[in-house]
Amino acid sequence: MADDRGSDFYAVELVGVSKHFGNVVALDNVSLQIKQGEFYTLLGPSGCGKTTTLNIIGGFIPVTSGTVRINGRVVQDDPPYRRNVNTVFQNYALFPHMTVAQNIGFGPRMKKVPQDEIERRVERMLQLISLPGFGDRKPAQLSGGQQQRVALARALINEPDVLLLDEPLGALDLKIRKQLQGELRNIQRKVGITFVYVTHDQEEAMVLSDRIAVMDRGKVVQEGTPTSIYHHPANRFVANFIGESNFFNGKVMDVAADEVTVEVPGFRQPIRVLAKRPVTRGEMVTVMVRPECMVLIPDPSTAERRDLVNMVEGVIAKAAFLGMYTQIVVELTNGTTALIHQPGGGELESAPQSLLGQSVTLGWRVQDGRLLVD
Amino acid sequence: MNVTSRQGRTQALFRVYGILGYLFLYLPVFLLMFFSFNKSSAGSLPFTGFTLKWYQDLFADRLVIDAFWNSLRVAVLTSLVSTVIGTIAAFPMARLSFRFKEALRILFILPIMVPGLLIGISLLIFFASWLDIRLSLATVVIGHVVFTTPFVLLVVTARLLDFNYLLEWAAADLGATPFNTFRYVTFPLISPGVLAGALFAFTLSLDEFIITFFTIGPQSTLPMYIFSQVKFGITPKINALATLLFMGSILILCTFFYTLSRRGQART
Ligand SMILES: Nc1ncnc2c1ncn2[C@@H]1O[C@H](COP(=O)(O)OP(=O)(O)OP(=O)(O)O)[C@@H](O)[C@H]1O
Ligand SMILES: [Mg+2]
Repeated sequence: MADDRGSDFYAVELVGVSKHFGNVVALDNVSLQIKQGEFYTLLGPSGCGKTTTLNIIGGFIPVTSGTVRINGRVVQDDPPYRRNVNTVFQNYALFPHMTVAQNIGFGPRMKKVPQDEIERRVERMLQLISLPGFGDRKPAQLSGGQQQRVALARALINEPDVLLLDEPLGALDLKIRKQLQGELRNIQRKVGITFVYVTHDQEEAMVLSDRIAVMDRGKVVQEGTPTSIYHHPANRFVANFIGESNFFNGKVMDVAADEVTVEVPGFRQPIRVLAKRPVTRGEMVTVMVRPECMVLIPDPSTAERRDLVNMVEGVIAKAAFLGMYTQIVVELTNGTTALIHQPGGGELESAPQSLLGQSVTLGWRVQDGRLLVD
Repeated sequence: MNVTSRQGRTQALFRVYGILGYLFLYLPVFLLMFFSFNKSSAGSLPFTGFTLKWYQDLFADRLVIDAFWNSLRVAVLTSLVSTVIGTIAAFPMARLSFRFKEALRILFILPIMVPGLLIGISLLIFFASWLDIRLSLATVVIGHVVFTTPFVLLVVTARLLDFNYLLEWAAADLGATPFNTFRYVTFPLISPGVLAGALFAFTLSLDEFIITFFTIGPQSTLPMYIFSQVKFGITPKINALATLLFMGSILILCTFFYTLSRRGQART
């Protein structure tokens, strides 16, 4: 389906878009390229400009500067009703005075589709969202999850080029949310429409998206697949926002061809990390290590694993068995703490509590660290 | 002292208070209605027997019928014009923010507070001395619109402030032009407010006297007619007329609340 939609063009392209509300800068020079048929997520904390971005794509608010293209066509001066884009609003915005069927059929009705054709399409939509027979109800007679699905059907019936979804699952409880996440993904695959999805839930973003744009204070700080963002965060903010991480701040001691050595105050030995970024000697940098990349080394003198070149010492302050892994907090010699996820109960046969107060050494490989400059 | 007996006594007191209050409000009206069926032409006790004679007199009186139609015409026109103006004005008041908005809003609503006498006299001077136009029912309508529009504005603004603007965005998103958005989404949702405003304006206009007095030409309206008759002493015919007016107002109110509650039910 995606190939008859002019796949030479990006489904949505923002070029240098800024949006000011008085002296509030909601968006600051944002550029995005969303591909045809992609499930694309805008992820970021509250107030970072996600809704503003959607509203600009949908045409509800004007840009202050920049260009918006949909399927290659410049649209920033077009009103919403002339864009082939549909939106699922944050609190659904179903028309309370219309039935479910009238809500879903509203788009085709505005486009003067014949009544019997509308009825047929509405019926098909009700099947798609697994709510057959609900056509005569009013929105107020539906549960939150059902209203959510009606809002989705009301948008999808128009077969838009792009579907915008603003935290569509935000108001639902965890269980329904998980279920609807799966349904959303299935529906998106089935209809092949480009989805632009907004959430502040990093887990949801990881589960659903082909690509994610991480936003912070009106800027896109990183764009990429969930795995690339997780493993190669662009900066501390992204590393912090997506997944859990340990940060070690220090000064660059040595820069070799492919490796950088960082001296961290309070550590016995410097940290070695791959040189993925240009840094100079003496620069202050941060090394990030994911908790699951850290390994507890019971006895460093035996050194079973020669690849764990980075080692720090500390005392176990907290330990909790969480099923998939055991979470351990270690107080390090420089006064900071490190978080470790040890798979399963594994080597830790004894109860986690018995580990408290034990002196340990933590190790990780050169390639597990990430060099961050801001 | 026994607590429950004290509570009981307080309750009884409140009940008496309530009854007295309602009596104060409605006793005159009921007496008036009551004497419209009295045979004696004195319009007071004793009750000398039941009759519909005064109603027959009323319907036979050309002046009354004319006044009735004039009143109705004025009220309908006033209601239409002030509803349109008030509804249109409510949109910027509820939706936009601009300089002097509060001041403008107060100016718009002021006619509710300004004494009718003042509005009446100033309109008279305006029409007669400045514009030099003949007074007629049209000038009465203009006068009524001045003081009924603020009510419409108030009711519709309240409704609009309640209105979720995202619904309009959703309509536009689904391909509705601004006109269709208004027709299919905004208007149906604010229509109870608009209807309330229209009925408000209608009933206010129907029994308006002071402004009418200053702005009317040779014609008469029902309140004008009643006033002219009262000068010669109250006859039960006036009672009959007042009774019909009262019943009419009640009927309008009931219809209004009935449609409103049915809408409410349909929505939930
Ligand atoms: N109409 C407006 N007037 C003034 N400031 C606004 C307006 N709309 C948004 N803003 C500001 O712009 C910034 C971005 O807002 P936006 O609604 O896009 O955030 P968001 O990422 O969607 O947040 P959330 O997750 O809380 O929904 C915020 O600082 C907000 O206060
Ligand atoms: Mg938002």
